Amino acid sequence: MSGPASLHSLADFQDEAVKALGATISRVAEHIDTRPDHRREIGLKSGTMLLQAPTGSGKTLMLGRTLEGMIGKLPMKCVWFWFAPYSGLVTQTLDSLAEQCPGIRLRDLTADRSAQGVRDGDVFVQTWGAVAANNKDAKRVRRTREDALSLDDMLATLRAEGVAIGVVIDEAHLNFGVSAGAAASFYLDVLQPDFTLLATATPNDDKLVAFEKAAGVEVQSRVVIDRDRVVRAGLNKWGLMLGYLRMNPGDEALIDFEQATLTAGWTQHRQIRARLEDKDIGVVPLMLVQVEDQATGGEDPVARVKAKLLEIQGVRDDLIAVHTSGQPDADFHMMAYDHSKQILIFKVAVATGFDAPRAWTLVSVRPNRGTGFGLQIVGRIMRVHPLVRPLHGQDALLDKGYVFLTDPDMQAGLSSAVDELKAVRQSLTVLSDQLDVVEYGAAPPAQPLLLSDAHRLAAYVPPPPVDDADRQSRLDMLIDEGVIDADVRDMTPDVVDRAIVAGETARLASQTPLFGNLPEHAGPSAPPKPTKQTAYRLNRDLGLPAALWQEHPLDYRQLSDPVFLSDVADAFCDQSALVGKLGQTLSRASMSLRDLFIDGEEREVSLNLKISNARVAERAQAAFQLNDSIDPRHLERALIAALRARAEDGGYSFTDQDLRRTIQLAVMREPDALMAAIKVEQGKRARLDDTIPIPETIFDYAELTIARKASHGVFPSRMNKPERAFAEMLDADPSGTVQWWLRNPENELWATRMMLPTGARFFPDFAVGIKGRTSRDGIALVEIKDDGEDGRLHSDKNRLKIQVQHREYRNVFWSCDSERGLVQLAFNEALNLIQPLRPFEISRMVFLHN
Amino acid sequence: MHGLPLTTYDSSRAWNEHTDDDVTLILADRTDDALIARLQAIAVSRANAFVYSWTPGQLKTALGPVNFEIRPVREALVKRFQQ
Repeated sequence: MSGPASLHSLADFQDEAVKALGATISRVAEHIDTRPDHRREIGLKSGTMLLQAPTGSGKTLMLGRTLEGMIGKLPMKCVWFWFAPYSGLVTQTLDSLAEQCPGIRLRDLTADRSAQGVRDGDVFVQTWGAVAANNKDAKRVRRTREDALSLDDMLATLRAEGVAIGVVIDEAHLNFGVSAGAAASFYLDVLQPDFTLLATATPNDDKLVAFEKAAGVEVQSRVVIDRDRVVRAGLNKWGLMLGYLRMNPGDEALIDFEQATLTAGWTQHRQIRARLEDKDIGVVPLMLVQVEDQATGGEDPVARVKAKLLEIQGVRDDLIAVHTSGQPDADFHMMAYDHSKQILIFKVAVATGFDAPRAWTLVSVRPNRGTGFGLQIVGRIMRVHPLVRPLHGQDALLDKGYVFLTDPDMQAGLSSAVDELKAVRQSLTVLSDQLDVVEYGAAPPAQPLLLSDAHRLAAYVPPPPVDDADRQSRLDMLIDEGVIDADVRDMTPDVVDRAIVAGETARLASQTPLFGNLPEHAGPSAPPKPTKQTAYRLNRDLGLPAALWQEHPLDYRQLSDPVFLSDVADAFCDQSALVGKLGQTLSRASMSLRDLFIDGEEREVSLNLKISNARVAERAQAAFQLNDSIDPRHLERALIAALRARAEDGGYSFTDQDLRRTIQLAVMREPDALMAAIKVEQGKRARLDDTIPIPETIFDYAELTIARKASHGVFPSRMNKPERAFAEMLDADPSGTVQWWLRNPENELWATRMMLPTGARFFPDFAVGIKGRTSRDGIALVEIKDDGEDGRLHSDKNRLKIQVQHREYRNVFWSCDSERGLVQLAFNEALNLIQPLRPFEISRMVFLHN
Repeated sequence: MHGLPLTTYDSSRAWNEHTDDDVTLILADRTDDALIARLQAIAVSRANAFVYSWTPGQLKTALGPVNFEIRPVREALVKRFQQ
């Protein structure tokens, strides 16, 4: 490997996941900060998050960047304990975090358990076994010595000092496999985390559910990433092909199916290598070969397979790496990266999390692969090498992974072998929506396919030998190549001829690019099969408008326009009466004094404190950045200019320093006033249009419940519980006030949206046609919230959202469920809080005020 | 931050770029049409790119979702020198 690797830029779905996880951690941290007595409860009930993302989507990167992004952002320091399922993955995780998250300080529990000098964002990476198991290493870490605290004492000290404890459980489905009980008890009793990030590639993870129950945690926040987004971002291959060799019944006794399958894999590998060379991509592909474990006293499967590989033309000893451990340790990882090797023979049955981006081809000669085979082994060949990413979706050969299976029992049609094949096929569905199965060889057309959805590629069948010389020559060659066994020499001529024909057919099938004759349909032209494919038509009879009105953000020219910035500055200076604050250098404060000699005697004194210019400047920088589309440097300059004009007009004496300081203090103290000024000026310039029609058809799951007043006649699937309850209430309105309703989906091109002063967009959940409402088309917008119990309702973003009005549809009705039923929410300016106003009544939706 | 050699910064340009085999870095002092066109090309090529901008929101609005990072200059610098 050459030099230190570059930082990887996050794809959009990764960025979204990092932000979503970070927002939850921040929210929970603030909650803990305000209610420290409920710390344990908050951690268990609100602090657990799940990242469910497909293999190859960069889970470690997303988790690492989340932790790195939290540094300096929380009201307390946070130390993280990261658990990997195997020791080999610990090394890989450490390497990856060191390389991709340079802000994180990595520490080692075995050598460094000091609670002093702890830094925000310290991360310890280990397995559960290293701390929670009943073994020597774990005992050492858990014992206090003269020179080092035990882990338990270190955690207690950190907690007592107000440091938050975070836990990351990577590959959570494996982490809880063997010692779930011990892990859960260690997690609950010793770690007592404030935040827990669980990461898994497996949907519907039973082990995870079991852990949730055992540990009493509730996964409140889930970030689920669709495989489709990972593929489109160029991180996962578009498709997967599975091939198995099938010959005439009885051929299994004559030819070596393993040899033929290895040859088929190598042929595919060579084709990929040639394509990479053609495209001038400096990547040497890797063929993975999975073998079975060695039975006690049995032959060494690695030696057997290696010998067979060396019989294939073009395979040399120095191209083969062998990994003998049954665990995916650090050596396995290193071998996957050693470009001098093109074949890696290994025994491991589970390699989840291991990275082999130059692997396209996998040959598995291991029986009993199990249902996890797809995710745990085949997942290794689904990643896309970074150097191939620019071609992603453009080269059908490189856009797929190739899996070859061999099992002589399959030839006999043994039900166990066929069941195994079906299990493998099923296990691959978690990896790709584009799976092609190919049965190749010389099975007669009348013979049914082992898998009903397979394609059959029949090889050319050579004629039998014409004479004894021909027989001997062809037999020698096949034995020499290892395709058929030397014992065949001793059989009767008709059996030998049959063996020759079968062997040559198998050789031909194996040496022909296996998937070359299939239609190449990878890439964007063939997106993954939709699961929501039932069409629902727009019901125009309800009286919906053709399109909804949308507010559009200002473009960069408008936002950088000095006139716009000057108008914002004028509005802010006028509202805050800033001139009078010029020259202010002291800040009022009070201090409580307790008399140590007279019990209970306490008094308070007033102080005037000098405000540090440097401290003001530092804090103000962040305050200027409340809208990431407005350059904070230009905004500050415009504000200073506006204040200067007012100060000169008023005859004040001032220095440049006074102006700067006054502005900085003002934006820190009155961010809402600055936000309001931006909102007003943005509103004057924002463009409004209704050019994108409501779609005539939406696609969703089949057999959705019919809704009489819904835009498309059904209750759409993408609604959470409170939203669904609200939609049902609208649909059942007996008064006739509700004429129609429409689910307004976030980020859809046609959906109505408003602009927030931060530059973000706000898509209310519903648009409702209300009889008698005087807004455009009689439309009222509705935003549904869960509840205010955990603080999410009162986030800064929600407080901004509830204060904006749509310029055509006017006030947005905010509502949430409560013990007393659905209530209408409103913003209390004096308290700066969102509060219940009254029970929600449909009849009030005619009003243009709340 | 990225372990790359220093690149001469031309302050007269709205944005400066450093590209090598592994990564593209752009420091955008101001947004202009040329920058948006360049970023659209980067998005198509799936390059490993980081854009540091004083106004990341302007770029996100102009580009829509992209598979590279657009980071705010100030926050990135503060973060880098924290602790």
